[in-house]
Amino acid sequence: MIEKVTTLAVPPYRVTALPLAPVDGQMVVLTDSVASATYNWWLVYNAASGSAYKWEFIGGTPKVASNYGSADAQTTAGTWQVLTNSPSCSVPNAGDYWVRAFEGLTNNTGIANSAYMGVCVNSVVATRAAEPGTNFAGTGVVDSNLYLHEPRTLAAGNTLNMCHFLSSAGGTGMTRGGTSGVRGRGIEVVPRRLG
Amino acid sequence: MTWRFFAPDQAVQLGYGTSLPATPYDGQEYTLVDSTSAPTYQWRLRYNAGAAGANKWEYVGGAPAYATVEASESTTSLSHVDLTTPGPLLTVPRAGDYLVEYSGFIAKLSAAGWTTTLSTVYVNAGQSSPLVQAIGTVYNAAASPYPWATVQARAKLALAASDVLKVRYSISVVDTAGHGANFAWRRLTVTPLRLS
Repeated sequence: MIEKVTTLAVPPYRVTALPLAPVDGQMVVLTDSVASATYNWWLVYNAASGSAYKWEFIGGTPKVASNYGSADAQTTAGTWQVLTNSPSCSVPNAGDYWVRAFEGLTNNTGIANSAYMGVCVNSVVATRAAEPGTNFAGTGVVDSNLYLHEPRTLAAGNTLNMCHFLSSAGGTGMTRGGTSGVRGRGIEVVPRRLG
Repeated sequence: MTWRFFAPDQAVQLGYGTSLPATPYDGQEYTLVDSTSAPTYQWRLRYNAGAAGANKWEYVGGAPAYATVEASESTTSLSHVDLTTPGPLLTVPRAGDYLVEYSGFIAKLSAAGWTTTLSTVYVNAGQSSPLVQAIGTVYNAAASPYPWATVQARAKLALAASDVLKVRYSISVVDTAGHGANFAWRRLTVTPLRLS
């Protein structure tokens, strides 16, 4: 006997690429690996959406790239840089995303200084969307944290890179990240809708 | 044994729309949006008939509602005010418990002094309770050539349907030249925890 079932009876398919011919209301779980997933994004296809990105996010964990083990000493001032151990992560599909980034840092210069953190695309520092920074107006070694939370529209395969800037390299510059949670660095990305 | 055959479009569809079902059943799932043609948020909810209280639609996942003001705008007010561009502001669709988050950037662009800034979420006419308030201190442009800092705050709020959230701003000190502080890249996001 073959029985047609019209109510939800099985969980959505896990896929590593979105279906080429979706139907309205279709749900999938997009992942990078069925065997060893680093993210699982529940998506529903909204055919009525006016956006080119009709797969709408309805749940799942962020894709995370973090570094709590390796610091970078930034000793060049006046230019944005992607440093050796700066976290990065790529996105699988074009779409609208939320990006969250955080960084702990220490001013080693012994002078008043300023530091910025941004998130750029494909290591092109000019593509950063914002320039969050902080002050080190006092002298001596000072710790601080930076944080940003921003909407971004990204292309398929884009890689997000944390990038850094400091105003003065006096002394031994700025320590970005570090070996403890106090000075960790990370990027989290989660979709709003995908194409 | 009976084998059942599923086509993908049959197996994976759930409710989707701008209002929740009037007569839900236990375990029902539904995706709530503000618009089906141009949704700015989508919240997947599951109805828990056994939940105590009125908020039985529990959040499973989705994208938050959000509002942003990117422009850098200043104030010298020692009490909370709207900037040139008020907000960001959001109206919540239903009563329930929400996670409210604000993040932004502050600056002291003048050549003297310092100030502490407050970016405070208001619910309708009054400050939120508990307080969602991002605090940060910035120094003057002479002491630091790029005098920006980041601020962030988040808290759970119990809100009524159609409550309006708006962020307002103040500083602690006006410098001798009469300058205040700037606020930029202001971002407010709202995610439900459970709804009525």
